[in-house]
Amino acid sequence: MFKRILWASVAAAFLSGLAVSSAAAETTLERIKRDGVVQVGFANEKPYSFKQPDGSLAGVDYELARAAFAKLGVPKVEGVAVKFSALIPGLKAGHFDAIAAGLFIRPSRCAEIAFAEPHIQIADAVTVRKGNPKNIHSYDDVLKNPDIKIGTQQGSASRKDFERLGIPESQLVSFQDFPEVFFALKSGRVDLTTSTIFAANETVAADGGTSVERAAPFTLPVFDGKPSINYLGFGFRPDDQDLVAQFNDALRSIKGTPEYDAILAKYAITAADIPSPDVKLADICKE
Amino acid sequence: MRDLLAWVPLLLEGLLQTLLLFVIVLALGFSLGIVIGLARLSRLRLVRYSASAFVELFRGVSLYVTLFWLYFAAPFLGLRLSVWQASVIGCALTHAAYSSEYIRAAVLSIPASQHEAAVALGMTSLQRLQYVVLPQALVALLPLMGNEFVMLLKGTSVVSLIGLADLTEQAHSVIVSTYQPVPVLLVVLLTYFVLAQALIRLMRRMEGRFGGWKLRAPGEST
Repeated sequence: MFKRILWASVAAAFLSGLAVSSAAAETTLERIKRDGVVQVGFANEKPYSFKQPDGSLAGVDYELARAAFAKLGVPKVEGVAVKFSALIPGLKAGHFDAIAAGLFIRPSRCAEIAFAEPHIQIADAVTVRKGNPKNIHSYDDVLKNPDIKIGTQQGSASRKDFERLGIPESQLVSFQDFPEVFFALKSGRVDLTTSTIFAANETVAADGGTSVERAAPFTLPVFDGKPSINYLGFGFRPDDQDLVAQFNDALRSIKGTPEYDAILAKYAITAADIPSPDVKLADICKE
Repeated sequence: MRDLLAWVPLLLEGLLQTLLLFVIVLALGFSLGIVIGLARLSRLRLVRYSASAFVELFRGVSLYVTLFWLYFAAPFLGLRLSVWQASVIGCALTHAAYSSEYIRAAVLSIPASQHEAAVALGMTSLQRLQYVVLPQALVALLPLMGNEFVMLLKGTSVVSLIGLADLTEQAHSVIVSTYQPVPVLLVVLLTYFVLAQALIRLMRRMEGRFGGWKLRAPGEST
């Protein structure tokens, strides 16, 4: 019996094949064109990229990525699920070749990865419990009342905004994933959450208006004279500049096609949510 | 409720992955655990110390951190593992470290007189291990390992944090889309509970079956 277990384990160890990565001579772009397959990292978040009951992916980022990669001659886009905070580490570790997860373009992230030009712009929305029991209408209200807790997602861009607003660490509560932040709000563990308008509407609708609502009115913060608008971008490894350039061209060329409009319409994204061509990645990346 | 039913196949797929991971990790981890456990009893100091270092390392580091290292940090050292490989290796190494301690204790529980008798019969050290020590040690282990196996079964859910589509991760996908955490988590809770109960019962049956043999073992009851 002992022998059999030992041999089985040796065989299994062999079969699981410790694939040691070799320094590939070809670029990511060449590889995905040759294979016809590209892997994208996603964080299971509506409406960007999420799983459907049959296990396949849907979402505005996933579908736009698929349309753009098809244009590049890469017909198949596979999703690799990771937690939100592992999107950038996963890309850098080579577990996937692009991020299609509604990632905001932020200067700190530009230093780590290469972004495509922004494909969606969206303002923040603040969600609170029904009836806004703590009467929250701005971040000044949060600063005035230390009892107010804000729920955030680990690795979230909003964290930096709160820091700039001077909101102390003691008022921030971190969660692994976006849905958990919302459940924390519903169960009273936190008093407000910020998210994009998309996600806020989505969750308020799913809740059926029974326990949460968007805080209205809410004065959004202004940084350096600019209202805080989030720009969504697809992420790539900094070495893959050729891929980024071609992806940008592909994304630009599908704009306005019926397929592109259909994808946006499916997720209730309007023309106002699409950044004008004057909005440049380089400016958003500037600190 | 109806829209939740649409997600049942995805949850079943996750369940299958959880069971598959459990069985592979159990086989690999337990076998490695036997080797490490025996190595800790070796007469060679180097072998003994290396085995101790292995055990202390993987007992001392959380499985979550081990998995993160294997999946996100190892590629920078030239080792790119798939999410499955990283999960299997991480869980198996951790499980081996824990189970090796039980194995060591079980081997030590075998009376010295049996070693002496086996030597007197002219058995080589490998034969002693194969025919005298391990058959009895493994039986003595059964009640102890039941606990450990249940911990392993539930513990595999940590792999969802690096994205392996096990039961926990798929449940998370369902929650993301349906915004109904309570019924989904209830299903997950019941599933793990039922699996753990089935495993406990299986282990008890094995104890009953092989434990009886132990009573007839020489040197214990005559």
